[in-house]
Amino acid sequence: MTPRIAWALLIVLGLLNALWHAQAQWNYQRLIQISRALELRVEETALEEMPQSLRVRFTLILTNSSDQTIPIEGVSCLLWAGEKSLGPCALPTEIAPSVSAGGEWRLEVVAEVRGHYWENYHQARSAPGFQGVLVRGSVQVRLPTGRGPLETTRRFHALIR
Amino acid sequence: MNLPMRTTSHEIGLLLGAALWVGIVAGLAMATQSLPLFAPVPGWMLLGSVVVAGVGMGSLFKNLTQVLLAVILTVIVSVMVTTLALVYPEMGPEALLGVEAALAGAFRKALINGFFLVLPLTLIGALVGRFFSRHG
Repeated sequence: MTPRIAWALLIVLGLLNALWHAQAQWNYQRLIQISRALELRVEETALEEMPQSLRVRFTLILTNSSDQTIPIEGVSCLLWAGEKSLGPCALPTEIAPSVSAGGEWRLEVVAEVRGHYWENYHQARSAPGFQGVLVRGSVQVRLPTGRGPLETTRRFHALIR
Repeated sequence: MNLPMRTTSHEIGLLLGAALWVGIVAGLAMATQSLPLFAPVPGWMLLGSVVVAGVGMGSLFKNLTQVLLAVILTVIVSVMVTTLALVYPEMGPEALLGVEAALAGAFRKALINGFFLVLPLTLIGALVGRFFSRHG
């Protein structure tokens, strides 16, 4: 190998690696920007007490201010009254599969608390210091990384009174 | 009297230039490899580019001592380049960790990559390159 070929090889490798690194950094920065452009909040909350059950209503709102459609992988949540579990939320069977660019994704949840979970609620409610029903959960989203999607979660919690 | 002096300074320049350039190649490859989710090419290509750069560098030298010195300098430069390449994005408005935390993490990562990947890969490449140089 002549020195000229060796230097040409080194220059090509240097340029290639600079290009690959710039691409990787760009993908990384883009993921951060998209990640920051997603905002999850809980709104329209309500508690409806009935003789033998409790209805917990809330709406999950995920806003996407990025220019990329973000697929939604799933939603999960649990209800708590103090340290007593009120069970998992019953989620709607049809959930919008993605949040469009610059759009908003809404999920209206109505959870019925019955049976021994209702007894848990009743006990917690009559105890001193009861503040309300805590809803805690997460929304799983898929973010683009440049080499494939990255599954990540957005957590939420809200105290419903 | 002038000829050996000129030859020596030329060799030093060649050694420094080659080590600096291969250090930049290896440092960028290691920094890209540290972001596996975001790299546009698989890790083996990045490591392969370090070996090939080592081959190119090794073919420039006839003396084994020069090759070893160039490899050591390459590792030092690559550690600096990897650290800078990983810290640089943390200096902008999109910073997640902050410069100090990023610097500590990036330097540790660069040091480990430098000694456990860049050193053996460039050494293997340079020894292979030296073989090509002899017979080329």
